[in-house]
Amino acid sequence: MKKAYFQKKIHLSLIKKTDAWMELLSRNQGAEIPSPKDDPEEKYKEAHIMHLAKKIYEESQETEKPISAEESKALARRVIEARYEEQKMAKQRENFETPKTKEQRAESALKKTVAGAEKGINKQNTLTEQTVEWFFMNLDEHWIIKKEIIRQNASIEAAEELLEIIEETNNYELRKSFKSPELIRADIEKKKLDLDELETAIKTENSKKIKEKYPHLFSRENLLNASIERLNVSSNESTNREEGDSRFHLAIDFMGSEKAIVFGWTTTFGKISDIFQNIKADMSTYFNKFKEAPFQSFLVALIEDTAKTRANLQGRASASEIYSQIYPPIENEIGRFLNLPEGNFFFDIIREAIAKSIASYVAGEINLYDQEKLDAVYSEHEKQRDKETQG
Amino acid sequence: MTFKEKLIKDLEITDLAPKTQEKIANKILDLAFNATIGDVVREFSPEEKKDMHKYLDKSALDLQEIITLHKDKLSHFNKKNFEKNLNYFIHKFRKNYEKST
Repeated sequence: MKKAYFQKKIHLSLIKKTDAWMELLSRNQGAEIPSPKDDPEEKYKEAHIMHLAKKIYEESQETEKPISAEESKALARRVIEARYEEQKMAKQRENFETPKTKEQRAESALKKTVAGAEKGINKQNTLTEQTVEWFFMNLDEHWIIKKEIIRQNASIEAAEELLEIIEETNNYELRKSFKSPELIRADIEKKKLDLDELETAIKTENSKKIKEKYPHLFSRENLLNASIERLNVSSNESTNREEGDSRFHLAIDFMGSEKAIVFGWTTTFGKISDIFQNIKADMSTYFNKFKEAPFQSFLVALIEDTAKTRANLQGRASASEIYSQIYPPIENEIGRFLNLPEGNFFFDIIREAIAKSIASYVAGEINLYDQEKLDAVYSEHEKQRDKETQG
Repeated sequence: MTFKEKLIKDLEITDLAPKTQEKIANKILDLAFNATIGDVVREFSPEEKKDMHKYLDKSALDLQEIITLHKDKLSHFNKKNFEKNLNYFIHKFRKNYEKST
């Protein structure tokens, strides 16, 4: 009895001492004794609970048995607290693990790197598949917005990851190859705002309003980009063809697809192909024939320029000379017209295919399907460009 | 120094067992190839990618010289994008490795 009495007394005096110590500490530091509610983690948890409770409450109102706000909160608290507890336990287990060897650490770092990369690549592939699916289906405004949301989400994630890496590294080469962290951060903020707006639109607006509100998503350029994604997939199938042949056909397919969008899939790819096949023939036929359509006018303008170049160089120009003359305007024009970022795969193959084929036809010395000569012309131009860049 | 030896140095894994070094370098190269696939390397078959590994492993030449020498196979190869991706994955790996300590 006596022992129990003394034990209790010691315990009480310890509690009193602790309280006094805390009070002293707070007085000395001029701060209040922290309560669990001031703990940032605790605050975050509370916010988490409230968020979930709101969601549960709202969802339950649409069911046959709606629950009260208090019940929703209690339910949310149970779920979140269990989740936090589980995380805490996992963290503790991790701390008790035996230290890893250097090899094991490197392996696990590699595993994480691969997993992250695969996630990104899969996301890209899913997007492409979805685009292909869309391409052969009716146009659905909500689908376009959803696709845009997926795209924006992926690009925000990628930008955040990139920003993290750039900020953590001092590698000059890496920093040089990307935008500055400030610009990337500003980009992310803007993208997040756009995303919020899109998400609200898809919930609240009807198809017609969406189309009016986001004309840029339904612009010719955007539809064009969708066709590029489609071609990205079809390029897989073209690997067995001769390289130049497949590149040129891709370019023609691309133009055909664009034309098909403009005219609603009614015209054939052959028309564009004809332009190239008959480039040495009477140009005026083609001018009159295709003047109305925007993309055709663009092509016709290119052909017209080329014809002028040919007239200027008549009798003395080789394909490579013509190529070097017409390549820069073509590069600019196509870049401006397609509104594609530099370095884009299709941007490159299209401008190469057009410039190469026009140059060779105009010079009248190369067959379009003579791959070796086309390559020779191209590599000569590449060398020239490298020299200029280095100079 | 071969391209791959330089990569191992950049990855800062020279103190690991040679087999692990090799494995990590190969995987990082694959990642850079695959990431470049998005725009160009989708044209590469698995055999061609193996060949690329072989060149990078044995040759003391730099990447541009390898591409020029094997232009018939690598003419679609976008060096700039590949190097950008490789740099990205080197740093991604370094970050994960440091975090694991």
